[in-house]
Amino acid sequence: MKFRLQYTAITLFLFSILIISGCGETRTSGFYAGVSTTHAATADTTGIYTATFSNLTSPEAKDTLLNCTFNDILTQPFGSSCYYEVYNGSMHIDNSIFEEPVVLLSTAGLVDDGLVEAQFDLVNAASHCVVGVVVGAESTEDFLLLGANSRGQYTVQRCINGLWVPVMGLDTFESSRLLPYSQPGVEISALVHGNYVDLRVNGQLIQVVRTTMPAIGQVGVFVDGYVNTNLDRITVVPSQ
Amino acid sequence: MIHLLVTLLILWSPRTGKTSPLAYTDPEPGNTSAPSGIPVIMYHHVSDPVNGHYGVSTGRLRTDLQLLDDAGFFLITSEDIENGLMQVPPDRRPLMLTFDDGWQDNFNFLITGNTTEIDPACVVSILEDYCNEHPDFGHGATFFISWDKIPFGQEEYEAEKFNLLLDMGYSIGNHTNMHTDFTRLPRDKWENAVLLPMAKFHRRLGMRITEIFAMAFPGGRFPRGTGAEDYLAGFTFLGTQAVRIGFMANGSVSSMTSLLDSPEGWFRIGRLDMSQYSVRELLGWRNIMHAGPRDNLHDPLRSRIPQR
Repeated sequence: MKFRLQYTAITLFLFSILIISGCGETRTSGFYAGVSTTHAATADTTGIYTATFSNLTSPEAKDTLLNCTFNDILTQPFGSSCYYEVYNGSMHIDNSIFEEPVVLLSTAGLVDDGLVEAQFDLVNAASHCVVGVVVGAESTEDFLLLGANSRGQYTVQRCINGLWVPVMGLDTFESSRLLPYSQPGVEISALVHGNYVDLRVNGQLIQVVRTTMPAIGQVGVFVDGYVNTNLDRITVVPSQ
Repeated sequence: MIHLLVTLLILWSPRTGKTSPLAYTDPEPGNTSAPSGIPVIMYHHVSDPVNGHYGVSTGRLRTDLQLLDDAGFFLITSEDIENGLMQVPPDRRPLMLTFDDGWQDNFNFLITGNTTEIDPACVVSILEDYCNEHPDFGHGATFFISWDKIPFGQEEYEAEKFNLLLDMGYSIGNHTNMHTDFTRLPRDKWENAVLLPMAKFHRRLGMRITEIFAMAFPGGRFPRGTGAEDYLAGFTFLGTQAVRIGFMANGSVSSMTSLLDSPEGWFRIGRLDMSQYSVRELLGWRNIMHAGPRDNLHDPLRSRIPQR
């Protein structure tokens, strides 16, 4: 009897070891994880599933001409509700801890053909992050973005009700990398003429974009999430 | 007692209790009427020595590329499937290469002092070398990333590797957050499985997140007949459908017919695990497209895709 109990106990013990050793994380088609590159992922709390932009009130476009170099700390080219600080000749737009991009609409807009130009001095930004100008804006969620990143790529995107509709750009190196890599200073200009917008980066004509409607209306600047940049200048000039 | 131990040792296997290995399955009925199948082949580890049961050697990958090229295939990505394979040359047939999980041997950086270069033995280098030497083979592959580990193994280069892959013309796909089989995962957990990786990709890719819409199902399986496809299709990220095309690992070659005939077809594209299959077996499939010339390159594969 004693031998039989011992026999049963040993059997159960062996079974439990086998069951435990058979457990583990399953991989594709049922193989084990367990190489050096595997580790538990750290918690990622980024869970934004809908496009939301910085909730700055867009100012009324009261002018068609603007050339702001931020020499005056009281200057407010984006209206009085814009809380980014102006000092040392630039507006300091630190969006480095936020996932949502910032869209600042100007108090000047285009009623016809014209030029919108912005000079950025990137302080800290991941290489894929985009800065640019927006034209044809109806709100901070409806506009045409023309921008570039420090990977040397340009992008043209339409934002409709907060949803991005890629138009062109951000493609492979062969077709899109027309700019130097890791450029700290970026001057982006959009020349609106009729149904076309010329995108220039640092003076270089990058792309001519055809739009279904003339890109007139409010204009402004765009700063992607996780970007810390200084805006040194914004210029809005009507063609006539 | 000894008999019992011997019996247990014979029955014991390290994979006891795991999912069954990939089964060889014929194409779904009705899909063999026309040679419209698009082979999608998958790899996991590609290394020397071979890493694990589902790994292959670098030599095997190079050999496979050569054999597939010789057989008249042309590399495509999931974007190309959505775009109607318009770029496939008239004398070539489409083939999709996929690499699951995001292992370091798929894309590895070698760091020497201040210089960083792509490891010549990693998958990306092997593909670049081969495709540069054989431009008729096309260029492209899809890397499906699961976030239960550091993608491609080097945390400090995560974002750079993702962006570089897209820059080089490769595509990236979602392989869920914790690599959990959808057939085992409760429905209320699906949203996190699908959308948490999208949020992580977004942080590393920004606006380029729109390029991620393909998903490879962990374990290669996806529930059938329970409205699972509709449920999955309902998840949106930044207002865009998070998954538009889904890949199984069922050892079959899906036809364009199955994609075009029903919305569910887009979520049930078959794949062949090349650690289990060979190029010779693949070429034996009846429904893969012929490499014969098309009348007109701009003809959207009319002769190969049966009209609805």
